[in-house]
Amino acid sequence: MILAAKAGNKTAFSWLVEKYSRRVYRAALSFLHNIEDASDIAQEVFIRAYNNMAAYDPQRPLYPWLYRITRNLCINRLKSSTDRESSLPDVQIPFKGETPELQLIKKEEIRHLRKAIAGLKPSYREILLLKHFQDCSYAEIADILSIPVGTVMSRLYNARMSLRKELLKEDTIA
Amino acid sequence: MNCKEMKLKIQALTDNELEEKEIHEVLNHLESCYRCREDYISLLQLQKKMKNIAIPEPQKEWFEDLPHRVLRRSGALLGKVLFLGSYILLLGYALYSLFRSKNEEIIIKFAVGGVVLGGLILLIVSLADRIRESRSDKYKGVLK
Repeated sequence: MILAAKAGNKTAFSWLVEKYSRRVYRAALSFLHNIEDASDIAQEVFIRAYNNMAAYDPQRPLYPWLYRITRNLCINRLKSSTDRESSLPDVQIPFKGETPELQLIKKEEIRHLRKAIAGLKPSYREILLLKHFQDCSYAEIADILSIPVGTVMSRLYNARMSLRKELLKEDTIA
Repeated sequence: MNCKEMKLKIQALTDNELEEKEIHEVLNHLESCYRCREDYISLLQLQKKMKNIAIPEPQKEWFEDLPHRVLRRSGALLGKVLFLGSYILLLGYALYSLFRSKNEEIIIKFAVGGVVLGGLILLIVSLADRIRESRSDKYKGVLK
């Protein structure tokens, strides 16, 4: 499909957009924290990708290439702002069919989790967001961060252990 | 293999990234090692917690319509390039014809020449400003 899209096949490219749109959108959202801006950038990413498909090396995974376009476009948009690090967007979660008590517990748990993620060092936060919110594989993360897969695994493990520690700390405080 | 070496493989198992030939070895280790089993369970619990964080998204229709919008916009971009390219070509030809013509008055040629030259100077000045701005941009490295 990627080769067909590279050759200019519109159906193949549409398939790629469908496959990667959510991940690209989430990547943009992690930088911009705003649904409108993130959807705008996601659309722009695919337009750029379509017009520059010739520059893509099909030997490498596609998502890191799209991620780089996304990151560059987001940084351009944020140029006047100081907020350049990726982080979790603020979000209201619908808890359908749950009792108010359960909803409250879940909300509190998520608040703890968000606080714990925000407390991590940027490299840990980045790798966790790539893994958990953009569903990146180890190989894709390695390509995005330009580090070996072994380093991805150990950094991800350390990030998770740090997160667990932060969560335990939060629990103790609570 | 000891527990220290095993921890990354256990993580890979929870991430569905472990090679098939290694799965059996890791499962055997988990059966025999209480500490690693606890580690495995805590990794799974952490993943479950992360899944609970919902990400705000546009409506489903936005994603469904995205491929069409992208292709439409790309088509529009091609249209813009064609339009501008042809416009510049025509303008160039018109100017060439005007300056080659012996019937036009010299004042007309001067006026048109002034307009074109003025436009070019403005374009060069604004381009130079942009280049200067990008040179002093401390995030230049990041953008590249």
